[in-house]
Amino acid sequence: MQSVTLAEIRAAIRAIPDYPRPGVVFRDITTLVGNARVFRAVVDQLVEPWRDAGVDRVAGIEARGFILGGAVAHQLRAGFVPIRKKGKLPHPTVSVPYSLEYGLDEIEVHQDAVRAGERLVLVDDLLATGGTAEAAVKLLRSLGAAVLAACFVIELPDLRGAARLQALEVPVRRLVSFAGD
Amino acid sequence: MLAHSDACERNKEPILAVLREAFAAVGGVLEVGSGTGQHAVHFAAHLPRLVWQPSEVPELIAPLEERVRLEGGANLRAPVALDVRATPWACAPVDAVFSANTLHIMSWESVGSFFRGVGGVLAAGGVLVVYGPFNYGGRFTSASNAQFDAWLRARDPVSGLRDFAAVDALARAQGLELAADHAMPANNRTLVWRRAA
Repeated sequence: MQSVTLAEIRAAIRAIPDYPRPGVVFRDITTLVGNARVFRAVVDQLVEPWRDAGVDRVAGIEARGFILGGAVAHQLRAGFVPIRKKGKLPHPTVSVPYSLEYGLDEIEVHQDAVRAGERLVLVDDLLATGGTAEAAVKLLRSLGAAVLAACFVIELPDLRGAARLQALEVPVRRLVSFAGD
Repeated sequence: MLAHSDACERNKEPILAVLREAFAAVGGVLEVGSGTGQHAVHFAAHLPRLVWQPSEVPELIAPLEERVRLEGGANLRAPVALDVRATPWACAPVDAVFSANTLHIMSWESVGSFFRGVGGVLAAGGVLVVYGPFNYGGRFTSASNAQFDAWLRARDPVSGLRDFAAVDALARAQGLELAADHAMPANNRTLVWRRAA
């Protein structure tokens, strides 16, 4: 396995101040995925505890979760399941609502994307409030999947998303965190 | 016959009770100094949602490998060789580190290496759990701990019971905050730190 340190992963993430609005620091992973050595190592490290766990499929959350999830699925010899915002998937879907800052939105997955009893890991780039990830876990469980873990490159710990996933008894793995965001 | 520790058999249930809480949402655990492997086998079997990675110094790894091979379940990995003095530790980031009865065996210099190593591999939100006897305020907490310390130092002058405050200072230097200090049977402690940032 390629090896990079947590400090190198952190350094590969670009901070963009005042984006998308003043006072917000945007954590940009395009610099990380653009760095061949760090990207490869992060793909391996993100799901390292489950590399031999018989993962059937990797679920990724639109949109940056697709970049990571496809690569992770390849490394685990697993299938990939896209979880998308409402109205983007062409085949019959199941959906779960999740709360936004103002109001509700829904995420969906194809109803035949997962079979009951399959072992999945959920992947996304960033864990903030955990609202989308919590909805994704409920969605996958509604299809009968066992969600082995939820894995993120970045955590914004001030938003306490890990606690929401822990309440669902899902192991949460996050590689680096940025407190104060 | 497999290597055996009576102490491990006595303390494994009280430690497991702490780990159930501390490791409730943990994915991968690295155990440093797995010894006979009795803890690794027991904790992995009773915490089936996590993946347990035992380790030991190269010269002591063979009996550990034997126990894991004979008694290990699907979530207990084959042991890896790890000397805490290596920089950095050659392993992927882990969500938790566990170590029992190691800090009073290694030299104080190696205790420093242990915390630097943990600081380098413990992922965001990560948890460190250390079990063993500790001194508080520069004093032994019992006559039996004082006798144990004398026995250790006679055997190896660089070993000996560590002071909690000095150990906690090493943890804080790595961005770890003490989350709990559990009193355990036979004048031992289980210390729990969490990565602050």
